[in-house]
Amino acid sequence: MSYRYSFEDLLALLHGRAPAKVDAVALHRRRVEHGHLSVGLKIHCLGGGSQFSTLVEGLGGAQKILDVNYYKHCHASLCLVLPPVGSARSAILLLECIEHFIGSALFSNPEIQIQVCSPGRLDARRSALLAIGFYLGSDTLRRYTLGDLATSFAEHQRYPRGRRLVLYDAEGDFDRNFDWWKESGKRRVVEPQLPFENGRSDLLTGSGSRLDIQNINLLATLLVHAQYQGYWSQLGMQFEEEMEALLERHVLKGLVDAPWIRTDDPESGDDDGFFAALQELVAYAFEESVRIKKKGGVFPRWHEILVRSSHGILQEVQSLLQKNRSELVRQSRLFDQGDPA
Amino acid sequence: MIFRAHQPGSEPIDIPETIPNPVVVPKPTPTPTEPAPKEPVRIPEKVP
Repeated sequence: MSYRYSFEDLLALLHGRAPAKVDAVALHRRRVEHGHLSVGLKIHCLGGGSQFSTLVEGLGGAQKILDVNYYKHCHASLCLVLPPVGSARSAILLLECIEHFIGSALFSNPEIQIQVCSPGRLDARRSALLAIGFYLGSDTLRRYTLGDLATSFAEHQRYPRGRRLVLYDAEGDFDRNFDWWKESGKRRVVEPQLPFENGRSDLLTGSGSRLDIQNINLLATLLVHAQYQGYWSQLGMQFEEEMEALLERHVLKGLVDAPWIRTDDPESGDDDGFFAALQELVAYAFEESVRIKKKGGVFPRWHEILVRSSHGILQEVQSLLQKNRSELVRQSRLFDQGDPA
Repeated sequence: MIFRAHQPGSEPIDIPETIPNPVVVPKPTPTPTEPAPKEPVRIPEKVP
């Protein structure tokens, strides 16, 4: 993930418009919260990008910080790569600082596509769970065309990534200097570095929100820890089982077998196979949304009860995410108090 | 953005590209304002 400027230069530039938030980011940049993964961000601007001109110039100019990256969304005028930070909270704060500086919204802005980058390459099955969990857990239900997911690396000769929601890195720069929690016997050991020398699983959120960043960070933490035997591996494996059981209840478990990520396996190169699975998921979620709204319209006083008790897929995913978010924090605090949970 | 699906003899249907997830309770979006800088600490003048 290449950014040819220093984090300190970025903060110095942003400080003039948002001093308190910039100070908070600077103070907590490498602070990892409850053993979650660090968070990287890329901002793809689908508009003209003029709002970023002063920022880009201040960091050294387009040639230095933008053109050095071949990677960007196919419809984007620019892709700004941000330095990784220790938590979703810092990532959100950093984006808010940039909003202050450029004077326009980054969250929930159709012209801005936010890519959330997590360390560690997830295998095909876990990449599917990341994408499906993100989609159903988001505060926005989106319809896609395959073109919405096209990047300059879709057909790249060396690193073909296809048109997907989840993408691997292209072996660029990688910042390992974030805490990694692992288990040794009954003890929690905090390593000062991530256990991977390279490798990320990125998610193209489209027009993304704060909740999307928090959800992706939680999902990636659970899945990466499950795959790489981190401290949260047990919680992560339990989450995987529950997510797959949830999909099975809704007769959607077969979706996990679609090629949600393009790996080195030639069979994963089927964009259409992925898109058919995504469309099935989208159709199911939209149908569920219509059902909830209809119930709400006809029986307004029953609406809340129905939403709570119907166990529709959208509600179930919210509950699953909430349960895991709370459980992770609870276990982390228990350990801090001396109980190995 | 709105997609319009027109069929002869039927009312045009508007299909939104994105809709809010009905089960997510929207949190109020923090307005992009910075907290006002703290006022300098005033040291009371010594009473002679």
